[in-house]
Amino acid sequence: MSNSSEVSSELLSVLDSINDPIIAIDNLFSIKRMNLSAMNFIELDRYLDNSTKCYTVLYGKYDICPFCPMKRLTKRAPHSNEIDLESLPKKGIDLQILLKIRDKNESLSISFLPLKRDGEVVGFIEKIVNITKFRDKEEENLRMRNLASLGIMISGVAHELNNPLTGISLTLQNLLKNLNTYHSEEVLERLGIIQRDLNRASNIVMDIISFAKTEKIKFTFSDIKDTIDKARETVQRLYPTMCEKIIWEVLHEDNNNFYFHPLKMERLFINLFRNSIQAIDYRSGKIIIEIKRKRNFCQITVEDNGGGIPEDIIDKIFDPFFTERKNGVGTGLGLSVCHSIIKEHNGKINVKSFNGKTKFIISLPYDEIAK
Amino acid sequence: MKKRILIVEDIHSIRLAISDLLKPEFNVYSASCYDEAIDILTEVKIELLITDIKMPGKSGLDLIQYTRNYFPDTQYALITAYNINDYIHFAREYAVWNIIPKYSSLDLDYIYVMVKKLLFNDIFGIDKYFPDISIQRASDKLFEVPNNKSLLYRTIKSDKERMHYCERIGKALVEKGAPKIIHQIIEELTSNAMIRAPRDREGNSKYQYELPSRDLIIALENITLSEVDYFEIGYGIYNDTYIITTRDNFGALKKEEILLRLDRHTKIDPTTKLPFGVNDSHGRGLFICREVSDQIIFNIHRSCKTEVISIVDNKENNAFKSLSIFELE
Repeated sequence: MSNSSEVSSELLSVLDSINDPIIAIDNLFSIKRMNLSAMNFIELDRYLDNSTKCYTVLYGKYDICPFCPMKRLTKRAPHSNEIDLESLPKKGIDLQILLKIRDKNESLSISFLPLKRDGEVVGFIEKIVNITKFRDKEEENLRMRNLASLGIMISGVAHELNNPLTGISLTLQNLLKNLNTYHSEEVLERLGIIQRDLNRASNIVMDIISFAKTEKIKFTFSDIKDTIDKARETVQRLYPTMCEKIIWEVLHEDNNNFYFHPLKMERLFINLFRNSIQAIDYRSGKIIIEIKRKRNFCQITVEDNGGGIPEDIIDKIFDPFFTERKNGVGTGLGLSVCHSIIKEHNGKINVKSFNGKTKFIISLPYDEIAK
Repeated sequence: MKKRILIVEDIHSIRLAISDLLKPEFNVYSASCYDEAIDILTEVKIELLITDIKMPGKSGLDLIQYTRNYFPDTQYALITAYNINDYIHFAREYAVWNIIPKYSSLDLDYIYVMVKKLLFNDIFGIDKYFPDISIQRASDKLFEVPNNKSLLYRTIKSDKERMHYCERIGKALVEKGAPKIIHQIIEELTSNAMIRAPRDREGNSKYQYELPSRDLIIALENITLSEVDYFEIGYGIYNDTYIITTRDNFGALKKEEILLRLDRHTKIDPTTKLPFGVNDSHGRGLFICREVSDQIIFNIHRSCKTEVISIVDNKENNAFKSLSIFELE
């Protein structure tokens, strides 16, 4: 049997061997103990004694950090900074923050776990993991996915672009041929036509540009109905002829505000709507969107009567590069991009098909507060 | 009396441009959708219908079906902004021989030439597409390279000659700036004209042996063509465009056969995910030839004459290839 001092020195070396900073903090935000990684984490010019506050040493602040979950757990008494340790959940609290360390933006994942002595909570353990590299990679993946979804947009609008371009080209060839015989009104009429085709083409290009530059925007508290309306307008503008005979119906309640990423959500609905109008394929059809408030999530359904999805492929439609369309219509990534956007929101997307109708059901949780 | 043409197209500018082009020589009617087109077809006897495929409401394909049923004397052609290969199957089913691609470098004259050929039964000749090209016979004694805006014809009498001239013509055109793929076009077109086209009275191939299973065709070796089986190859240059054309005296290539061959290579077998055509050697040459040419035009006078024209430019508009098959009545 080893004595307690041997055990504690062994435990200390175990703690020091962990690469992530681990800090023990009491109910008044004072640091009690830290491992070697934590020492390396704090800057050298900061001195540590028993009353040093964690926010000063770790994050260089003079008051409790705004993102600190313990702030919500402080006792109600005026000017009290004492944490009500009993209210700290047993399984702890996790959060991710972005912090400037030595002029570099680092992504940190921080966990807070109760620190117990003799069965009583006396403080908490803070564990910091630097996830910057992981995050960078994730963002890189996201960028690739966005590029892919841009590719879908481009191949989709290419055909719509072809029409005005051909129109301009043929009209110009005509004007050149008949320059000497046309009256000025005839020339003017054809120039006006070229102008209209140019506007049409440039509208399409503008939409692609605005679609491309959407990054660096966080979750915001917004109205999902506005986003859906915007997506619908974009699709109608991009595919005017395909949309001509489509009836849209948006059923919703009054307040549809919650935290989500408006531009990504818009992209998701653009993808879904485009699928629907392509399924309807220039015929007349109906797209019904319904927004419903559930207890802790928002449910949105998008239903079209474009013919439905055959049973044998319905579970494959979210797979990347799965497409039933002919060459050149899409890249086969549309629905898998939808799926990944929903996953980023911790939500769910399902699809049902019956009686020639296709219905996408999306659930988005309300408590997905700004990441 | 001017012939009557109906143009159905939902894009105003395209409709107007084609109608402007044809107005001087034809009575041109135009419609922006299926319903309007049906009204005109019912009212006026239309000789040629040119229709877009995708339009609001019923499509150009619906219109073709209707026309076939109710106005069997009306000829028709399609235009589309989409990939024409996707419509080859429909073309086979509904006997569509001409599809024009919509893209920004589409030459308006191409439509004009198509209309003239369809309505006036005068289909042969490269000069339809290049009116000011000079056409000559190549010298029998030495190998000549065509000047710009000219085309040379040469008669081929044997396998040996074919090999020899294919090589030299290809080389000469590549030196003048043609893409290397022109070698393959020459090979495919000449082998079609020489080996596949000649048939005896019973319809059997004279210079190839076909396995009974019909999945392999073997050309005989060292063929010397009999005098009636000689064919001609034309090779020319027009600015940045290179032209290869063959003419035989059989008219054995059927237009249905062309679509069948193309269809087998554009349609994918759902079980293997490969085109149906990969399993055997039927029509692959023709398909490849069309894929690598910028335009390929078939002119057929059945049992008399076949002319195939391949036009290659360096514009690389690979996605936009017309379907151009003409047959004399």
